[in-house]
Amino acid sequence: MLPLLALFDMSSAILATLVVRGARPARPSLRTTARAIVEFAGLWAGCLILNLALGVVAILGVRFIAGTFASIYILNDVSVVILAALQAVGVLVWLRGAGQRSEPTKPQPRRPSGAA
Amino acid sequence: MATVTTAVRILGTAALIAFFATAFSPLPEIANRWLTRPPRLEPADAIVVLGGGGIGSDGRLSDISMRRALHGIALYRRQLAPLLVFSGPTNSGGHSEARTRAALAQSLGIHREAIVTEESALTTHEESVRIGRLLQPRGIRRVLLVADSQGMRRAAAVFMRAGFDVLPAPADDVSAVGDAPEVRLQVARRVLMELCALGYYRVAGYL
Repeated sequence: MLPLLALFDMSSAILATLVVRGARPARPSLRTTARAIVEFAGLWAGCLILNLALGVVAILGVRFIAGTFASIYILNDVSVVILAALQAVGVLVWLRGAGQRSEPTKPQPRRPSGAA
Repeated sequence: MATVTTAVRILGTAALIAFFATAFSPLPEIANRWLTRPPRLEPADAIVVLGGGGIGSDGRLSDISMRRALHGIALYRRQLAPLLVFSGPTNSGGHSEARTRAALAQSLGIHREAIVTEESALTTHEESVRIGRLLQPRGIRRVLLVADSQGMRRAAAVFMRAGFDVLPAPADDVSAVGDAPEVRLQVARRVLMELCALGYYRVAGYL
């Protein structure tokens, strides 16, 4: 348990160093990073819950309406978790895009009228 | 937009806390202990091995199905009951879980007359009803029930409701006492699934 946490501490430190030195982000804030991780985790959990809930409803629907047996265990698949993570990335990008659009645009400095 | 972001952050914080509590603390083991029933390996009229995990399209039993079957065979070898019941449906490729387990038992020296198969039940509730119809006319009441630990509470309840006196004989493919995060996550996943199943069985009136 502790070796795994130590491994992730170490790899996070290496990644942070690479990103800060390589990409030189404008404001490499720890708070912004933590917020992004929490938002991603929230969206991942949300997507997973949505998929599982829809799956259960669909399976029970098939069982009771169509009268055909469908096993609930098809939802017990690790690919559901991975696909939910991909969905979460997509939703996070959409939400960030929507957030940027809804921000009030700053007035641009006027160019002198004679400038080419 | 701000409300959505706040909700996502609350859910994210809860998810991260749940993940760390599950993977890096003994919480899954405690939940598992609450859900399971201790084994009672005593003489019975029959050993009932529930289906689990099914059979692949190549005719190979899943790990959990094989483990349960072997546990049932071991109990029979200990002469805890004179009859061995294998349950398990037939897949779309025509391979029957119950018959494959019966063939395994026969290959390990158990006589065909000591084996009963049930191939039509698809859920634990159906297994209890159909195995009840098979065994009760023979006067069989006391059964050693082979299922996984997490599902034992529910399985024992439906079999008791079907008229059996149940002795739990759990067979697991995942140890509930490991301290590796992956093991804990596996146990937590099973516990969560079983809690959902228990809830469904209560709502459906099976318990």
